[in-house]
Amino acid sequence: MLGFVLRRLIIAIPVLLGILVIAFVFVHLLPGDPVRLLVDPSQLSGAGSTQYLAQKRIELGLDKPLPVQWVLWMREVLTGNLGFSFQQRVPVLQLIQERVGSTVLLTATAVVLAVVVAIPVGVLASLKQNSVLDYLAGATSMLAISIPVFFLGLLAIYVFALQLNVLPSGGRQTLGVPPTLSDTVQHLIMPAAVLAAVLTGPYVRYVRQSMLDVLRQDYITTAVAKGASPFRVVLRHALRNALIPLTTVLAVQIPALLAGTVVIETVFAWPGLGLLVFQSIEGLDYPVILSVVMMSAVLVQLCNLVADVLAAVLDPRIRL
Amino acid sequence: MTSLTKQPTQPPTGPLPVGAELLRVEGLKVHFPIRSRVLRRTLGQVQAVDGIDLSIAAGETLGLVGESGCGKSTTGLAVLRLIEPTAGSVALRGQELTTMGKTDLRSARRDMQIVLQDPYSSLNPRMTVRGIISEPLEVHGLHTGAGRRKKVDELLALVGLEASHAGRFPHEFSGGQRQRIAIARALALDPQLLVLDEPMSALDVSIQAQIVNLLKRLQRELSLAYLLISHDLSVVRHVCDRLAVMYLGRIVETGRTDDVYNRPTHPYTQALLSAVPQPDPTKRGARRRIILEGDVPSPDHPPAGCRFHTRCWRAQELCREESPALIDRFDHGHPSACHFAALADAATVPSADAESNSEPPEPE
Amino acid sequence: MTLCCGGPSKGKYMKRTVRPRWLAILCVVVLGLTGAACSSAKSTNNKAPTTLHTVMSEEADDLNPFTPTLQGKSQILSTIGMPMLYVDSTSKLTSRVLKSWTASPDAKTITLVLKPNIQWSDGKPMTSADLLMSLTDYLDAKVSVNAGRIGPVVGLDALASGKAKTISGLSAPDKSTLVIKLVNPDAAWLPRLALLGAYWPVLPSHLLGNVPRAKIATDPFFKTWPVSSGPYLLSKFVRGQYVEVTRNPKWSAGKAGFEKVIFEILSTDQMTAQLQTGEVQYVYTVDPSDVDRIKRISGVTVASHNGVAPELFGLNNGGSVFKDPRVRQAMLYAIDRAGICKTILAGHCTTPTANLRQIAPSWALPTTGLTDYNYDPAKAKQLLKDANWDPNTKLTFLARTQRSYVDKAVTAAVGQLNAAGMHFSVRNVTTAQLLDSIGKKTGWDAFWVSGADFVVDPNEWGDYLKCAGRYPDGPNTSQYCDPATDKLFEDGLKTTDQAARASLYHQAFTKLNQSPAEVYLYVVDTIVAYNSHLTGVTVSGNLSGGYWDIGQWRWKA
Repeated sequence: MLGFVLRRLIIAIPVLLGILVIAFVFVHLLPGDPVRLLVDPSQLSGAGSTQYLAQKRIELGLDKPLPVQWVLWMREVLTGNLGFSFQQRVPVLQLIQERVGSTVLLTATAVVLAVVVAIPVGVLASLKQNSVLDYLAGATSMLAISIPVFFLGLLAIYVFALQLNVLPSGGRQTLGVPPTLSDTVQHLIMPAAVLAAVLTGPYVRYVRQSMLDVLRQDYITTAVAKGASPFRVVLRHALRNALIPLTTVLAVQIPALLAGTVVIETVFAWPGLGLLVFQSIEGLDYPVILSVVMMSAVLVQLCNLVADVLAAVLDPRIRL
Repeated sequence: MTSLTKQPTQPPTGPLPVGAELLRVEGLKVHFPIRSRVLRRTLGQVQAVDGIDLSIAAGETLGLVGESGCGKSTTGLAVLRLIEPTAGSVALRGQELTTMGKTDLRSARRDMQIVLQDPYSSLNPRMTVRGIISEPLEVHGLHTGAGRRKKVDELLALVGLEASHAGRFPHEFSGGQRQRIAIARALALDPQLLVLDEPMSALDVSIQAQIVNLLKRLQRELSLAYLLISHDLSVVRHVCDRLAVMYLGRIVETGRTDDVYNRPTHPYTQALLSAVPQPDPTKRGARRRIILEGDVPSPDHPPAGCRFHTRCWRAQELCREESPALIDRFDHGHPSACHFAALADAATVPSADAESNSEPPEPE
Repeated sequence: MTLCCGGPSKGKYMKRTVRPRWLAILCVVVLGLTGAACSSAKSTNNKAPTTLHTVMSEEADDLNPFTPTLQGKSQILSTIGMPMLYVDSTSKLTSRVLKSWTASPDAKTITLVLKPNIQWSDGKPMTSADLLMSLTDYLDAKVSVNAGRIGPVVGLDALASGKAKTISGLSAPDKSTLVIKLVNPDAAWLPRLALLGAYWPVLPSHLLGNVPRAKIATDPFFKTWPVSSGPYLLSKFVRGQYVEVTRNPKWSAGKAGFEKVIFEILSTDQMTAQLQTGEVQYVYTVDPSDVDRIKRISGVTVASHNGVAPELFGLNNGGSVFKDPRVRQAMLYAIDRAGICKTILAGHCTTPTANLRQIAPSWALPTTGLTDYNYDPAKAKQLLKDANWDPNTKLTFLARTQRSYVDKAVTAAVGQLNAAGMHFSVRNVTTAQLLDSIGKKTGWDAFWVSGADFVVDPNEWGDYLKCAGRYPDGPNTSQYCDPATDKLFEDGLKTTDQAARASLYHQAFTKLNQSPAEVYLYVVDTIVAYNSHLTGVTVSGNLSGGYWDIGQWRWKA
């Protein structure tokens, strides 16, 4: 196992390097000049601003040939310095640190919520296959998948903030007062629940399908024959085997979730990574874009590795 | 988990003497409803098992044979109430199983266990061999700690495996070894009845023989009764004391193995037996293989009258109208369900084709 | 020509509000829902809040007055700092720091005199030394991005070349007076200072006086603003999320109305929802397309002021396509600008019929001899015919997707141009692509841009039309160049006599009326929405002026 992990980590290095080269080239191929984007044309003033921009170009290192820029950038990255945001004029690492916590909080809560709901529903749906409950679960998850997430979000705001006035409309905390746990929880409920609703649908289907596959296995019959209680049969024999595929799905989905919450974050004014990515692409903020790409690439590699290791831990048939 | 298992209201008593009636099945029916997809209306019934009687004495082996889809596996599962029977009675040691409450049923399971066909699917891949074999003990609160370990080691030894295997997972074993594990698990509770659902058919021929010998040895040593479900007539002949031949959910002929083999009276039995390879070369050629016409009818619309009449060369008007009763028409102690049952020595079944080295009619 | 618009007040290209387009589309769906909610009228919170929650139109990346500036930053800076001069809601110059601001008749000497008893939040008095140091920093092109945007001061060359450490044209004869000597006569110097004022708060020399100028722009002072002079003091700056300010107990102009004020950026949907629940109490600014649904929220007041920010089509005057002024005139006749204003912007706008910046001070606008370009497609076709327009000319229009009403207006206008025989194909571009394209001589013919224009002085417009200021060197993104017009604008600076200046600008504006530089579509009203308990709010057209009088705001139960 250790050998496998090491081998995978070593293979990941050239993969990451390749991704970074490609990302670097593509980012610089994006049309436009980031230095020009720094100053609005209406603020230009002839010689003065030309001087200012020329100086900025040198400061940002954009005057050097592309390969040199890449090497310089990689050298910094390897020492843990992700660079300086063109637009926001602060270290990229700081920008990411400011946002990543919110995004992790939101997605982690949503995933936990989704799993906690999806497992019992999926299990019941599989046990009562073709029952009213099964159809209801199927229809609900289809509905949750089909409704655009921003609509679901706005609907939630309309009902819970505007009509019932029980939850805040958006944001991560009530501004102007010291943050408290209950305040954060109140702000978290709606975005997390909406994101969870979207995730739950597919999870229910994974669990249900996986359970149906397992329940068809003979060892379920023999477990019943042993005199094991239905509880034991479902939990110990069926569910433990059925959850293996879900674990893999979850692990592989996490990077996408972290980068893909921009819609939820916008709807609920949740200050996360999604908005940062959105803005940095618009503003040709190379260091931020590249850092986020790099983070995602690392995360994808890592999560895939975790998925494989987890699968091996959970399923003794898989050897690493 | 043990705490969830209530103490049985009628604790199992000790083993019955050999020869005493252990299992009695009467009028067992298993019908599966066919439902429409959306509204779940019942459109019809699959009559998988349609009224069969069986009995097995302690220490005895009853073979249940027939083509695939005839309902023999369903019968095995229904006898153990792993499928709910639609009607009929199943009594184990005089205790009626079909009406038994769930708690009582779970304790009753100590006396009856099952070994399934596919040892790759019948062992939970996430449990070690020890976990698999000791789980029945755990569920029923038998033995604790060291005692349970010892019991598992004994069981492994009993089926010809080593105690050192206990920590491994099923995927580390060959098919034959897995079937031994499955048997050890079935024996953990010291049952009196084992339902063996095609236990050899997934294995290589050489391994099959080992398992057959193992089962015979275990039966001798432990006075087990077997309900052996099989389509392999040569194995059945080797192992079983008595036979029941099934066709489309009903038993068409039953009796002592030698009687049925040597003097089949039902045309279906005769057809089945005609396909068995003849081990004695001197008898080859004396027998002709009966090739049945047509397919097995669908169990959701079984033919009226005798269910075999659509394929029977002896069928007459009566067969289409009246279902024949399973009665001992020749006073040989082996009843058959045919209006025109004919006592015929297998060897003297009129033969047309000389060669008969073909396979059973419907290999699974 | 001018790019449109532009007053120094605001970035028209890089306006960064977070309003992805799909939200705008979705608004239509939810409009019905929210509308229903609004009519069921839930009363907003009546309890007098100690914290005021406001929604800004743009994010503030930082609070550093030396870095490139966006509207959001200027709004915060005018709350925590006091500009030397600024523009009030009636376009007049005003100041809470200066007692007087005067230019000599030859427009070469400016004198600023401080009010007595202005003090910093640490109790130190504000003096002319503070003004001297602040201006020196702001005028140094190596330090400050906006340095070149105001007429040159004597001695700036020596500072730039390193020969001098100070600017010889700036002097402080006493504790309250600052004298500024200009290189050229510049009658628009003070109005320009007022327009830059929101970005140029007075800095405390007792804290920053010893910082070397090369390091001033990165001084940690600008991260926290430990000492300032405005009605509120910075207490928290959380990038990309919000800014929190706290009442300045030593504000020299009185006592501000709230203990704290929060500034945040919200999407239209969030803003509407939070106005309704009472989570926010002031929104600056509201899109015209959102006005109706916000008006339906009970307990919320919507106020507006004629805008100063035309949205327009910039034209590639550097090429041959628009050489003939009749082609540009034809465009103005071809587009139903009044119709677009009335239907697409629901009337929350004004139409510049003469294609001038009609918000220029009235004394500078000619009253006679102007052509009004009212919708007249027949005339447009005739003009094109007269100009020998080839209807097969393929034209490229660069559009940036922004807000739903803009997309609709652009679609309508381009459709009408096509109907008149000018065939534009629309290419959707990002801001980066737009700036890249218009930096080149060919490959584009027209583009959409919005912006702010605050014409406190008619010269503002001239800066956007100068031959020397053609993009990418300067702000003249329409590549307009007419030396005769340049000359009129230059002469307009040489005297402070208003009558003499007026006659020059009348000539310039008449020329621009006849030879349009760009197509002004409409001027959107500046619209704000606030909780009806909030009093003292005065709406200004100037887009960096959303918070200029925040010290006067009060909560009335």
